[in-house]
Parts: sequence; C-alpha cells; structure tokens
Amino acid sequence: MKKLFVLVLVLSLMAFTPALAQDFPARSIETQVGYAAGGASDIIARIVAEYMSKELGQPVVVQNYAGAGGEIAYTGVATAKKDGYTLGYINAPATMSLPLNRKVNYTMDDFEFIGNVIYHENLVVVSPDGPYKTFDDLYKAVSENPGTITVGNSGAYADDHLASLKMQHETGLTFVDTMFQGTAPSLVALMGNHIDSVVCNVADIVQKEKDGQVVVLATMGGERNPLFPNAPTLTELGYDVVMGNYTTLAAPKGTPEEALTILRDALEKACTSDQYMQAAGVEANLPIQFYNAEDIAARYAAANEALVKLWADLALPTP
Amino acid sequence: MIEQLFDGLMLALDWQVLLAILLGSIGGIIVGALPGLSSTLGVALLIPFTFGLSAPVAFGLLGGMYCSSIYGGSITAILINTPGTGAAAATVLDGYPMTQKGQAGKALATAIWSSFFGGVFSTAALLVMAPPLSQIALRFGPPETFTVCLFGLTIIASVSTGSMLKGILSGLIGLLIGTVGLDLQIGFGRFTFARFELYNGINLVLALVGFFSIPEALNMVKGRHHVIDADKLKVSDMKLSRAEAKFLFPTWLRSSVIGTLIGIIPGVGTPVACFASYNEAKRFSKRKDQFGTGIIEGVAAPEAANNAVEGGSMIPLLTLGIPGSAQTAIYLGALMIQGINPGPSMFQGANAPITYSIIFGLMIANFVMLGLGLGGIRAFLALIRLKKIVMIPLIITFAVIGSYALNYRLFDVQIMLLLGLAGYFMRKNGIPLAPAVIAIILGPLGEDALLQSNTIFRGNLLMFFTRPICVFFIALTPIAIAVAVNNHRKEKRH
Repeated sequence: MKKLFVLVLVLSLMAFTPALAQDFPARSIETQVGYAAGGASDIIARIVAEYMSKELGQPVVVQNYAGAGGEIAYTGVATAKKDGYTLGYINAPATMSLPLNRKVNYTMDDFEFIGNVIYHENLVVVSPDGPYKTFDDLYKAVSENPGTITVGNSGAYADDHLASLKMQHETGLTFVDTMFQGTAPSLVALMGNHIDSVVCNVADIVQKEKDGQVVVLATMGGERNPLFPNAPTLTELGYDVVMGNYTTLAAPKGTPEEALTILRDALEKACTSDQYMQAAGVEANLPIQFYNAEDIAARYAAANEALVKLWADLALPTP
Repeated sequence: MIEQLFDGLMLALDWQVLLAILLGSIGGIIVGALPGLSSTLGVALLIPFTFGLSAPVAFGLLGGMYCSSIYGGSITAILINTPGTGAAAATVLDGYPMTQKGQAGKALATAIWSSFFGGVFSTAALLVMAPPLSQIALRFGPPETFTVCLFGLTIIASVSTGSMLKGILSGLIGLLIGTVGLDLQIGFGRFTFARFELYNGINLVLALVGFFSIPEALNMVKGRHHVIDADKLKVSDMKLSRAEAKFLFPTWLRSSVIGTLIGIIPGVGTPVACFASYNEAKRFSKRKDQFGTGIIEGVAAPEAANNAVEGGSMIPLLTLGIPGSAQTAIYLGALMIQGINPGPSMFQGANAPITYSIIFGLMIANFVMLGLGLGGIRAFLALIRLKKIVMIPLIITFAVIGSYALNYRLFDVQIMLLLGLAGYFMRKNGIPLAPAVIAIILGPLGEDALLQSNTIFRGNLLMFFTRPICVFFIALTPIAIAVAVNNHRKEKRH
C-alpha cells in the first residue's frame, strides 16, 4: 500500500511539471504537415525534425494532416495554442492561394515564420517518346493548335496549375489543363503517353529525369538549374515567369518571442549542418534551401503580391 | 542476374532482417485484426523506425507489417463480421457465415493458406517478371481506369445477396457518399457544408468501420446475433485438408492473377481486387448459389487476391517509381529516406542486390505470416468466447480509435458513427452493405478518370472506342450485368 501511495504521489507531481516549465522547450514539439506520409513534404519534415531535436534536446514529432490542398494543416497551425509547441509547414503559393480561391479560417497574418527548408521551381516536362524535344517544339505545336495539347497538374489552383496558368498568360499559349489528384498520377499519365506534358516541381522528377523517363523542356526558376543544364528558363526565353514552391516552418502568430528565437536558432543550426545537408540534400535528393525568418517573410510578401495580381489578371474564381 | 539474385537472397537471410520481419509480422497481424487500424496506417507508423536501419532490415520490417496486416483483417472479419482492414471487406461475405455455421476454424485456416498462396505468387511474379509487367501499369491511363471502374461496378450485382434492387440501392447510396468533397476540375465543394474536414471526401476507412462494426455491435446489443459454442469445435475444424486445398487451387490461381494485375494498375487498390476475385470465383463456380452462405471459396478468393496485390503493387513501384497501392505509396517514402530512388535503375548494377533483398524480404514475410497465422488459430478462436458485455464495448472502442487515428480529429469519429447508423438501418431493411463499399471506392476513382478522359478527348467520348483496353471493359460490362441478372433469376426459382 505504501509503495502504491508513493507511486501515485510521484505520478501526480510529474503531472504538474509541464505547468512549471521554465525552459522552452520542456517537452516534445509537434510539426504539422499538410500532406500524406511518404511524400517529399513529409520526408523533409521528418529529416528536419530529427536534426532539430538534436538542437533543442526535445523530440520533434511530425504529424500528417493531409487533405484539402494542405488547408487542414494550415488551419491547424494558424489556430494552434500559441505556446510554441505546435508548429507546422506552410507553402507558397499554396497557403496564399487558398484564401484567394475560397473561404478559409486563416489569413497569411496568422503565421510567424521560423525558417524555410525547401525551394524548388516549377518546370515543364514531356515524355521522351513524344514529338517535343525542346520548348520551341512545344511552343510551335501549341500556337498552331491552341486548345488541343494537354498539360497535367496536381489539382485545381494548386501550385502546378497556377504555374501553368501563369505560363499560358505570359506566352499567350492555350493548353488544355488536365487536373489530377496530385503530381504522381499526372506523371503516370505522362509516362504512359496519355497526356502531352506536365507542369510539376523539381523534386517530383529528379530521379525520373536521370532514368530517362521524362524530359525537362524548360524551368521556371530565376536561373538555370544545374540538375538540368539543357533546359532553359522561361525568363531566358523572354517570358516573365518565375514560379516555385517554398516549404516553410511556421508557428501561430502570438507565440512568445523567446520561444520563436529558440526555434529559429535551432532550425538554422539544423539546416546548415553538414549531416543534414548530406541526409536531406544528397541521400534523399531533396531541393533543400534554407532562408531565415526575415528573408522568407520578405519573399512571402513579394510572392503574395504577385499572386494577388495574377488572380486579378486571370480573373480566377474568388469566394 | 543470377548472381545479383543470390546476393539479394543472402542479404535477406541475415538474422537482423529475419527478426525485423518477425516483429513487423506480429505487429501486422495485430494492426490488421483491429477494426479501424488499417494496414496503410500500420506501414506509415513504422516509417520513423526505418530511419537508422539498413535497407534490407527496414524493408523486412515494412514487408512483415504489410503482408501480415492484410491477412490480419480477415481474423475479425471472419469471427465478428467486422473487417479489420479494407482488404478484408469481401471476406465477411462468406467468412462470417462460416463462423455462424460453426466453421470458424476452417475459415481462418482457409484465409491463411489463401493469403500465403496469393502473397508468394505475386512476389514470385515480381521477382521474375517485373520489367515486362510494369508496362501494363503505363497502359492504364484515365480512359482505361474509367472503363475498369465501370466494369467494377457490375460486381455490385454479384455481391447483392437477396434482392438485386436493394443491392443497386446500396450501390447508389455508396455513389452518393462518394460525391462528397471538392470536385476535381474547379475545386467546387459538394456536400461539404463548408467544413474543410470534408474537402477530401469521406475516407473509405470511416465507411468500412461505420458500416460493419457499428451495426454488428448494435445487433449484439439487441441479441440479434448468433452465439457460437467454441467448446464444440474439433481440431480438424481448424485445418484445411489436402483435398480442400486441391479443390481451392483453381480459385487461388485465378484470384492471385486478378490481385497481381490489379496491384499493377496504379490507383485501384486492394478492396477492389478482393471483390473482383470474389465475383469471378462465383462466376466460375459450380455452386454459385451457395456463395454468401459460408463456403470456403468465398473466403479463399478475396484472401488470395488481397495478398496478391502486395507483390503486384510493388511492380510499378520498383520498376517505374509509381506506387500501385496506398501501402506502397508509403514504401516510396521509405525508399527515398534510405536514399534509394525507385525506377529502372533499381535493377541495375550495385542497386540490384538491395532491390532483390527487398523482394526476398517480402517473400520470407509470407512464410512468417503463414507460421503465425496457423499457430495462432486457436488463440484467434478465443475471440469468439468473449461475452457480449466485453465484445460490444471492445468493437466500439476500436471503431472510435481507428477513426480518430486517421487524422486525429473527432469529426471523423462523428462521420463514422453517422455512417454506422446508416449501416444499421440498411441492414435492418435487408439492404446489403458490400455494394455501397464498392461504390464508395469506384465512384470517386471512376468520376475523376471520366473527367480526365473528357478533357483528354476534348469532349469527344466516342474516342473511348479507339482504345483497345477500354473497348474490352466496355464490352464486358453489359455481359456481366446480363449474367448477373440471369443468375439472380435462377436463384429466385430455387
């Protein structure tokens, strides 16, 4: 009986410790990911979690809340307790495009940036079995036959679709946008030659391009991607199209400054360490790109402006 | 290539790999059996553990989980009419009636041997014929997927026990449930009531758990279930005899081929393979009117098929980097974490032995599953002895946990309970539940494929007839319907 009493006493005292926490972090931190386990967004989150845990001395855990184009996770982060223990990944343009398209329960002002982990540009790929060997070939074919050539994307008003719309707007070409539930099925359809082209991101096709399963015709980055030395940027070709995907770790607005500083510091140390860069950049083949909180805040502001303008220019549906 | 195969086998026969397979398999049977915990969830939960492990060990763990969880679902499907995973949804059709007839042990033995056959068959196909078979995956574009779904919906007719009309009604209810969510083309919300939790539609797991677990529990409360006397079961009732195995061989072969092929086609998934092979087993059987009353072919067909999907779905994964099922989509992530990038390069040079070790690991997992399954029959049968007062809260608890485990929100649990009530009323009125499940899977899949096909054909749907695979399935559909209607008429006469 006495042993039981002591056990209960100890357990009850332990139950109070979170409330007495002086040092942040005093327990595990959750990072929410708006995409399913196994995808690039999920993998980078897990690798970051591993290295951030080492810096913080507490476990960092990944939870997947897939669905609604990431909206579930974005809302989750925006409305989480502002104690620094619940974080999540937001994306540009995805997180910004949802409020422009439909009613959502968050705004871009609900987030505090911790740091950016991934950046990769959109690009245009075709099947090696098809008739297009350069972007010029594709350009010619589409301008001679507007509204007949299909371009696959990962979903209505998802980043690939937006990149495709921007490209069509700037080049004056008219493709037939074909929606899929994610990039993977669109690439399957491309490799089977059921559609003519796909707009997706670097990480989606890095290995496939190496294996010769797809050909990159053009990228939408600021400069040529060293992975695809033969693919021009659309900017080079004279079109004002720079579209890419940022994956950024964020906390809800109102999280205490001290916690934010600790998290930002830990993320920066984790993402600039050699082992992380080896594990994420080389072994997992992910397009890692660290930007600190100020840097990424500025980029998001610029991207948001550009997106609002694009929405208006193309008269895309608003809520 | 023989050298690389041998190297791969040696890598897989390491004690650490074998231990990983064992642990994964034990976990798999548990995860599979618990209604609500799907096999996809089981594989996903193991991903963090694979981080520090070498590739053969990591995939031994995942392979054991994948393989055994697909089998595990049949245990609760057979014993308490609640499939533990989507893969066992078709097993209830004859599995539970067998338990009601006092043949639970035989049903379990049939399930394990069938699962073993299917798993080994498809893994062998993977080993020997992966590259040529992978081309099938690519031939199935949106138009082909649509016609497969169209044909798949005719399965509803054969699993409509009783009134065909009620079966069709069930199918329509399933189609309706399948429309919930954002539409593909413009993201317009259908039946979402502005709740973002519904934007992705109603998860199949919620429907399965709701339709099968809740009505069963409610029926138990009302005393409307059969009490099985476990003490009266004889030892021979827990084994599959040689004669029975010989009898089942054609069913096993046919179901394994169906499962492997459906696994190769990306996106279709395990439950469809089970219903399709049940359908075909019924079609080719000499005692088709006994399907649904508790006969071993009715358990053998879906069980062989669901494990056959494993090997089949690995084919496009390893050769093309395209996952063929929900579980292999998670495998893809595990491969990337290991620094292995699936695609044609996996079978070349230094990568080949590792790839083969993954395949051999899956093969060995089937043997481990067989051992655990056979050895555990007596233990599983103990489930029947549980009194109602324990069983009912147990079922409901797992139903709630499993629904919550999907996305960690109570909303999903609420949806599951709503579907449970719907399922209860459907059962009360003699409306079968299997057709609704088939429609919930094939409806959204088929609609997306149709919309994509419409886009690709620029509105000219006649172009379906320019594609041979499409023509094949379009032609089969009315034939299947006619045969099913005819069979129903024959059944009514008896």
